[in-house]
Amino acid sequence: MNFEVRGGYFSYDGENGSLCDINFNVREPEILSVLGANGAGKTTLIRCALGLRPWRKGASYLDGVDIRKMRSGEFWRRVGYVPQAKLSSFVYTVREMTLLGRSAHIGALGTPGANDMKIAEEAMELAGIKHLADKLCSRISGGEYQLVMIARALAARPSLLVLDEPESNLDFKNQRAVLRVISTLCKERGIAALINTHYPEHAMDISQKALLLTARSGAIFGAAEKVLTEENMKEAFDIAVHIQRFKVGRRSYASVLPMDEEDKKQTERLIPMETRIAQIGIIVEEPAAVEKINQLLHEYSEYIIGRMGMPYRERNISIISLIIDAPNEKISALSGKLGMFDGVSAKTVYSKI
Amino acid sequence: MAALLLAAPLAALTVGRFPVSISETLAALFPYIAGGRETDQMVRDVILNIRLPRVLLAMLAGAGLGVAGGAFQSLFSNPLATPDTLGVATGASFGAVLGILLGLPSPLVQLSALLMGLLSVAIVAAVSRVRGSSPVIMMILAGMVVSALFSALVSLVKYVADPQDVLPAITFWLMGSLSSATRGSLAMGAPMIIFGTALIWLLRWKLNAMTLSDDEAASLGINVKRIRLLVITGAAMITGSVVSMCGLIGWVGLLIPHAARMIFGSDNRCVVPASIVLGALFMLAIDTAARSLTASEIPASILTSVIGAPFFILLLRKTGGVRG
Repeated sequence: MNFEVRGGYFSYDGENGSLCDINFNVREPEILSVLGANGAGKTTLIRCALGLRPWRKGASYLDGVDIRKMRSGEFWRRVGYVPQAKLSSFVYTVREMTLLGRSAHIGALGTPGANDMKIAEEAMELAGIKHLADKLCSRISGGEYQLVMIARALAARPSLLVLDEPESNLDFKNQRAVLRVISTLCKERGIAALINTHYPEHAMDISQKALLLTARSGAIFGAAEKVLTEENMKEAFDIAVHIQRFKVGRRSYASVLPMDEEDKKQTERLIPMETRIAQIGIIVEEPAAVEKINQLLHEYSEYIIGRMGMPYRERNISIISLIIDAPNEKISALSGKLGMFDGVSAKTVYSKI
Repeated sequence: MAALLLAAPLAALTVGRFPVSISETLAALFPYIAGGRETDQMVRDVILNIRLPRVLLAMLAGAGLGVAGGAFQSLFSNPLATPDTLGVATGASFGAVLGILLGLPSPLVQLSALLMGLLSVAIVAAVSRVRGSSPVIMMILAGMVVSALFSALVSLVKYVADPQDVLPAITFWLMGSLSSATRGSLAMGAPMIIFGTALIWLLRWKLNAMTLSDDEAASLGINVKRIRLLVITGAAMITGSVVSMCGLIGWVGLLIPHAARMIFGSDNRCVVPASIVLGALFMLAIDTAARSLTASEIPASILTSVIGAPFFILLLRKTGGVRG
């Protein structure tokens, strides 16, 4: 499955294009994140891409076929849409709501049969909300309701899932739950996803591709790490941005911090090749790591100005203290690398100047 | 439930100023099964020509209005929608009072009401059309406008009507009554009610998706325009036909589907059949009371409110408004 938009153009008033020359594609099992400031047209982009609103120019293609030429039932059997969650005036149970996802597979006068029920149950299972099946949608939390919407889309058994800000208005835990469900689905079920999000961190975390809507230079599309740079995001959101990458355990994360121009300049002043003195304290609990540490330190020998090692035989560990005079970057790189060895803890103290 | 649907009309047939026993009723209804026992001609007349059409009309009207109201509530995703939301009932009343004013015979009054009812929906559909589609809010507003227009026309007819005999006839008609039910009027009106109800019954599951926003419904693969057109056609046929036979009967279309939802939940797969049954039983009870409580007939719309309101309040208090 390959979903593609070529030369998409849309504007509400016919003159100032709010969406200009939109080009992107996503194929299973990729996740594509769409980012942009409020009013940049993220939701409009999704609606146009899905044919819920006509592009003024350009078109969307599913496996090379213009979607306007497809029967709507056929298109919606392959594409699941998860709108921004809002309750309807009449409240259904989670099971009834999920079952509605089967609509595209059931004729106008039909009602769902046993097979549809089974598929809906599976969809609830996939979204992790099976225990809520008989609850009313109004009696569950916002995060759970969002998962219901996802289950409903999954009930159509789509190969592309399109989500409009699925994690907005949710707390940390529910954001994680929703993102985890999406990325697990893409990895394990091999489906593609197109996600609108306000959170660059989430985009960096789960998506391989990104589309960034900027005011001046149009839409930037490409691999997530290439698109979501400090410069591009400044352009898109009109605010200075600092990206901090770090590791917790084995997993690497990126934190995207919007900041005032002043603060940003200060950070920039800190980061360049200014040298500083630092002391790295290392505790080695795994004797095998000592060799690797020695090798690593050898690479940095030009910066090391002092080194003390102290074996502590009673507990079979060694304690190393390292004094280093090096550019900031080198210091943090070294301490990062040290921390990644098994059975090694490292902590760095920087000098003020 | 099925037993109740059979027993209730049977009981209703025996009620009235002319006393008839259950066995006599059965004998009149099924002369062959009764074993050739001769029934009194008078009893047969009362049962077959007077009470039976009326009982059938009450059940059809109640079922139809309940279904039409529920369908509109789902279609417009608005709990306050009634069968008259698109102005069908007001249009039909105008057709009827115009017919009464012109002194037409009752089949023609019925026909005029029916046509005006359908015409009013057609006007609403035309007015609400914006660039090829009809947004729900436009339809509701257009319905209100058309409704207001036709009720003004009804007032105009009342204003020019002869206060000696025509005006009371119009007023009584507007308050709703099933007294005019005959085999003939039923033969003309019933097929449309049955057809409309059957159409909505077939679409009952899709009505669930119609309560969502248009985009959402479309993204489920629903042909929103087509389903909306079918449901409106069905509901308009029901309402136009009911109003043409029994005048304006308020409340049933609003109350019955809500009662069904409170008992069975919002899934229209349950709400539609439940509205049919509850509507039929409710209207039957109302009409039986209307024709037998006092010496003269009580207008149906008065009783639907007087009996319906406490019943509804009771249900509201008991369920807290939603199931579970």
